[in-house]
Amino acid sequence: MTATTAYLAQSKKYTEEFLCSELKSKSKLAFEYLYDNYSPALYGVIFNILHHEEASNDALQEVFVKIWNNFESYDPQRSRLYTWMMNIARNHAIDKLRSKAMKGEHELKRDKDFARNIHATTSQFVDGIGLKKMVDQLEKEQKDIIDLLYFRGFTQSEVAEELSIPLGTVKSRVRLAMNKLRKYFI
Amino acid sequence: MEAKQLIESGSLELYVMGSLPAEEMKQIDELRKTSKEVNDEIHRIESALEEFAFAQSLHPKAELKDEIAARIGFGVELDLDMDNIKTIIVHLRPVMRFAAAAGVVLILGLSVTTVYFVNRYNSTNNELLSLKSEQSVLANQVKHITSESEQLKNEIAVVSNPAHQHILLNGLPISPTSKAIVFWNKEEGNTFINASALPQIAANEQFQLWAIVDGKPVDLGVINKDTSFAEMKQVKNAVAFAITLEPLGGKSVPTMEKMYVLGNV
Repeated sequence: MTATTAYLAQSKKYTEEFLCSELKSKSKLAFEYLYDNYSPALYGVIFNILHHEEASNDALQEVFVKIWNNFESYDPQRSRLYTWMMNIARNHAIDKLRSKAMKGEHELKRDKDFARNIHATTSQFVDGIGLKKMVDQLEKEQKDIIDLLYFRGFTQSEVAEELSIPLGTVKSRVRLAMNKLRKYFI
Repeated sequence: MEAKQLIESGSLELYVMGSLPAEEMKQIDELRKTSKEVNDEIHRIESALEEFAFAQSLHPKAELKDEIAARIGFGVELDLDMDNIKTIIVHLRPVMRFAAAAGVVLILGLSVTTVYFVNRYNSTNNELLSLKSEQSVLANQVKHITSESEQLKNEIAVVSNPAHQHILLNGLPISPTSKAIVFWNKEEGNTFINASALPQIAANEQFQLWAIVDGKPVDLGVINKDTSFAEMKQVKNAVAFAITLEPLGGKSVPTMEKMYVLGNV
């Protein structure tokens, strides 16, 4: 652990506001903090989408470069910093997954293998602390919705099509799933 | 749409995940500006997703941090844990990689150039030294030639002077092949000798020129061994000239039995 991160670990977590100003100045400190605090979460998201270590490593690098270079476009009024970063990570990983190269390499498809794959995806995070409990509380239907939206980057209408359910049902299932998650976390 | 209705619909969850159509995203963007209720709900959903993502965190391999730092322009910070320091790899941005490579090329180039110029310097220096010594040799030669030419000029002036009488001194029985020429200004008394046809003599000996005046020998001086032409002492009324071999420095009276050449005026 470097002197800088050791210092940071001792100190209170940066407020998002302060981190934002540090990020704007592109300081090394900001990078250290950003990486040490957020890379595992971002990597978790990326890996759950790609299921491929090397591709995930590349994606994490690319995502950090994007976050770093496009920080000016982050609007604190619109979303929390982490949500913004997470969306970059998700979108990037999903784009990668959908690219032909990745499909060929990985054979992850959106067709009939899909159900099996999403199941594999949800079981990925049962290793998290107490996460199994949380996931177990979700109905299969709710899990699938979260997976499609969160890990596949499907749009609402794509989910509806995929699961052959009306748009409104997509929304209500998401609402239900998220409420359960919120009860668990908050 | 009522705020409460919107919250209950599940649209905000989709909004946070960026899964709504663009128009609906925009609508909610606008709505949250005026509705605190909606905005707070969005924050709560974001927090939940944040926790959700953190809960399934996965640590990337350690090297990735340095690789990323390098990609966004930070080198590796020196690890203070000395036990674990094995190799320090400095990651450079592409621009800096190019600069580093250019630096290496430049250093190599300069080294080659330096070696080249040191060699050039050495050879130039040697050339200069040899030119200097050559120059001093030439300067000596010039000096020598100049003095020789001065002497020849004097000799020619003497020889070609119509006021000078040329008296040939022929070899005597002691040395029949010896010869010498005296150039004499009868009026002024100036006397010169060309002694180039006299034999080699020992180091402790010297030839001496005499004039015969009124039946007696008059000393006109010793002849320097190195010179073949010389101005001697003045004499008038001479009837003959002779050269004898004498000990170094000459004598006041000639050694008659060692008279080499003789010539009458």
